[in-house]
Amino acid sequence: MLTKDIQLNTLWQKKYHNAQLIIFVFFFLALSYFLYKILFPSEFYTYSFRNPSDKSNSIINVNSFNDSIVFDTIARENFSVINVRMSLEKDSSPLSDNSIKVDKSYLAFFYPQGENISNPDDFEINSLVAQGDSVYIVGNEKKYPIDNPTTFISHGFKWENIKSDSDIDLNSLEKENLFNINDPHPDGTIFKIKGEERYFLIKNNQKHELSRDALKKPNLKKESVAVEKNTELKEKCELSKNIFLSRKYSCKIKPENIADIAGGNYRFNVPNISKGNHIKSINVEFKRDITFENFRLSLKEIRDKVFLRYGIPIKS
Amino acid sequence: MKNPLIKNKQFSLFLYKISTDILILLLTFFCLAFLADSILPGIISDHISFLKFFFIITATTLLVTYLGMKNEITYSPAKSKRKKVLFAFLSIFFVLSLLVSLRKFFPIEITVIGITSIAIVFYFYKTLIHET
Repeated sequence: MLTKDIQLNTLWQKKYHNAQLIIFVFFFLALSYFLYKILFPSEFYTYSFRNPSDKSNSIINVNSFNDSIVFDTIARENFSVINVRMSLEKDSSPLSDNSIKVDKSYLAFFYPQGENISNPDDFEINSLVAQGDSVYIVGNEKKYPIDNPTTFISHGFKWENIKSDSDIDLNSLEKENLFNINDPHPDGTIFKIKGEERYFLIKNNQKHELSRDALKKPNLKKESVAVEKNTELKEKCELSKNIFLSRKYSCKIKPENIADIAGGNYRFNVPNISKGNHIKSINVEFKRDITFENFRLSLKEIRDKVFLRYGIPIKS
Repeated sequence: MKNPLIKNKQFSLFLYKISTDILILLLTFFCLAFLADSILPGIISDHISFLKFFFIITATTLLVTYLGMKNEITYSPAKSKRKKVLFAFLSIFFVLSLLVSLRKFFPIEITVIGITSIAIVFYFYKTLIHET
């Protein structure tokens, strides 16, 4: 290219051409791999039971009960395959008859259910307020600045619900940390069960069902975030032992039934854990298979993200 | 003691040529990746670290410089046409990055940054092309 004028003898010129070819092939392969990572993304989450406080643990809310383990992950994209792998300690007895069940919703909607609320004066609901280019979740004397449009959409908020800052004095409110895609909906959020007239309020890490009287509160229905009922777990897979590694188990889930469910939080439930089962680690990998459908989906998502960023309306 | 790597002049020139090719490929990839990430933040930087990439480019540049000095390679003014192509490429990259970055600035800020940028591009033009 730039070194055309620097002449080599015949032997070294031949070597140079061969080396050039190798480098071009290497760059082409690297570029292909890179495009593959962009178009068929994957996300990896892990948890070590040996080091529960390790910062590299990305699986959250790990709870060991008497005979089961429940844990959460937050996936930022839609995926076509979930691989779950579990490793046991050397002194562990083998897992028997284990299946993993998966449900999907918003993190806050997985909170345990508290007492019903009937008095509309007992709670305050959140609003979405814009100030310049920023949008805040406002309520209970606090304001949470939302970090980007992807976080806004992934939490099920609606653009048409955003109010102007001329309606509310934002300066008097306590400013919280930047609200990102991994944060649960804050206190004051209202969830509505899709297809039913049931509403839940998020308060102190619990969800409270609102009675008929409480629903009279102004703007409550308009400000709500739609969710599916999560009373039943919707996907499941059987853990199978690795042929070569006796203490490793894995299972593959195709989350077709829960793909369209609102929310990016996946809750995994591993039942039938006995006292003799000593789990070393859990790994969860979300992947997108190499299919033409997924290729089109990725291109559409990239287009939508660009449109969203530059305020171009998206035609569905 | 002379470095055994550059004992062989042909081998040294070969290394120089191939490392220059690698540097150009790296720079092209970096510019395109940087532009894509300016348009949609995270699309590239979620997968690779720009800082590591920058270090790789710096190391390759130092290698090219070292080999160029050892081989006493100099460029004559006759190559200014090639520089014009490089200048045009960098200018397009610069303008596109600037347009994306200034999207939400106030008009007065755009004016100040725009004038400063034009001055830098002009100085860059003088240094790279005009004075050769």
